[in-house]
Amino acid sequence: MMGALFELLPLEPRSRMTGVFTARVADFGNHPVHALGHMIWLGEGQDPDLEWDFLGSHLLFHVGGVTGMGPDGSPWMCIIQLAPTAGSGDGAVEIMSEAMDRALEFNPAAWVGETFAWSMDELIETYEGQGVDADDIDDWGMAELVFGLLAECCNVELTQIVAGRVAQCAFPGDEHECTHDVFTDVFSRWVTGDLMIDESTLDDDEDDADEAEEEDEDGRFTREELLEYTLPDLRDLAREVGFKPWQIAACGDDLGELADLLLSVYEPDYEDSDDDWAQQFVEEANAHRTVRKVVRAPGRPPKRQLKKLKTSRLRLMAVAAGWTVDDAEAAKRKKLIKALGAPKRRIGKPPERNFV
Amino acid sequence: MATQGTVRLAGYGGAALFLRCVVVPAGVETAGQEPIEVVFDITLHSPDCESNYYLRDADPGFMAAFAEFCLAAASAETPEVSVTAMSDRSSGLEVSVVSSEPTRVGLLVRIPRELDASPIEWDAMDFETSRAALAQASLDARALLGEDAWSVSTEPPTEWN
Repeated sequence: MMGALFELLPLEPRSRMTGVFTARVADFGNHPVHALGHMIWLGEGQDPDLEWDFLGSHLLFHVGGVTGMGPDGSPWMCIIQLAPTAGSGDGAVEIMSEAMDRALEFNPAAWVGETFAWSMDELIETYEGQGVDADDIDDWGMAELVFGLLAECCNVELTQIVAGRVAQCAFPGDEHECTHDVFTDVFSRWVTGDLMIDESTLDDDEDDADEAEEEDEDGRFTREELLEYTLPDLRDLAREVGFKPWQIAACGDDLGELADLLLSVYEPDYEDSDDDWAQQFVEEANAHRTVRKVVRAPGRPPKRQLKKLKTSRLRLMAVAAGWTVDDAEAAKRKKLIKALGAPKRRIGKPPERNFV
Repeated sequence: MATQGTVRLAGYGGAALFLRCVVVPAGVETAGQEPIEVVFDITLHSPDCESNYYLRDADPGFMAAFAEFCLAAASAETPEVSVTAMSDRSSGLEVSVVSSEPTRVGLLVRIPRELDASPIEWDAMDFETSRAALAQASLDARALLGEDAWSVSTEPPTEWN
């Protein structure tokens, strides 16, 4: 599933979208408007399309959303509300939050998994993160900005949607039953299945890579595995892990001593910690005496933490890391997360097996 | 999903029927047999109105009958023709199928405001729901009865035909 909205939702790989909905938008005149989104996990076996309608019937500020299923069939929905605000927006968010609490009283099995809010500026920023020029959407209202994000969930690039808004056609080059509204164009084609992509293949590839990475992360060299290395390769491994040349030289030509040196490595960050769990970690690491197969660059946060940050914050982090302001502003959100996140690298190379 | 002894049958437009099991001391007529009995809070809910009928007696097998009705309504091709309305004498609750589409079923739910009134004044609500929601309500009702969902027969009892 693609889209800036899905980057905010805690969905597992192979989750799929089953519906997209919009509702009548109230006219708030010239009052500034805030958006509030809720990711809701439904009760086991509940029909997400019906429950969206049910919940929406109790939420007078709701304007649209998407429904879906997790890889295990768990139904979920994301519903977005718009309400007028005065000042900081807190009043509008509180109104919409209380409305959601009230509505969910009529579905006790459902619960809120994630909440996110946008001001107009923040929504525009989200669009910029997806490669849209802010000038191209300067006449869009909040509702249109929300609809654009929903349309992006239907596997259509946001830049294409923005471009199509001018002529009110999302697919000018394609033969289709044009509804003369860029958002309805996208939703209509999605419902008919025209915009589906073969996610099974993508997810398999991603899952295979994720599984391989996780396997690598969990993998640790045992002493027996280290002893299968040749001496030069084991010295290279020791250098990669971070041992000093004099430490490696002190082991001479003894493969066992080199292996023992490597096995003395543990998480240095926890060495001086007073936390009980850190001490326990150190003890267990020493007790098992293995070496991690994957190391993460120190001082950089994992990508899952970066995904929780707003794009504007990511851009500031990029500039602080040495990017130019122009590069940081031009970069899409995904690129920022990938570049700023802690890279992982598998250390060592597999020993050559000699079948003699 | 059955939550806290409640079966919820939701519908489009924000309508819902809630059946909540409530354990109370046994009535005089059952004293000496069982010390407690199960009665029901019945709620007809819509976004602009909610009617609650508390501690209504129900016929023996009420929840099983509701489960059977829901399953039949969900699975029959034309339930408005083939599925007999569910009618519970003790609580007064009546649920019938009034229309159907491939994925939706229209229901009429009605309950007397007062059981002993004459003439009876009915509180009624008609709404559409999905066949999936009906099937799930059947499973939820079965779960309240302690029955394994997988053991439920997909064939409606002959008296519904």
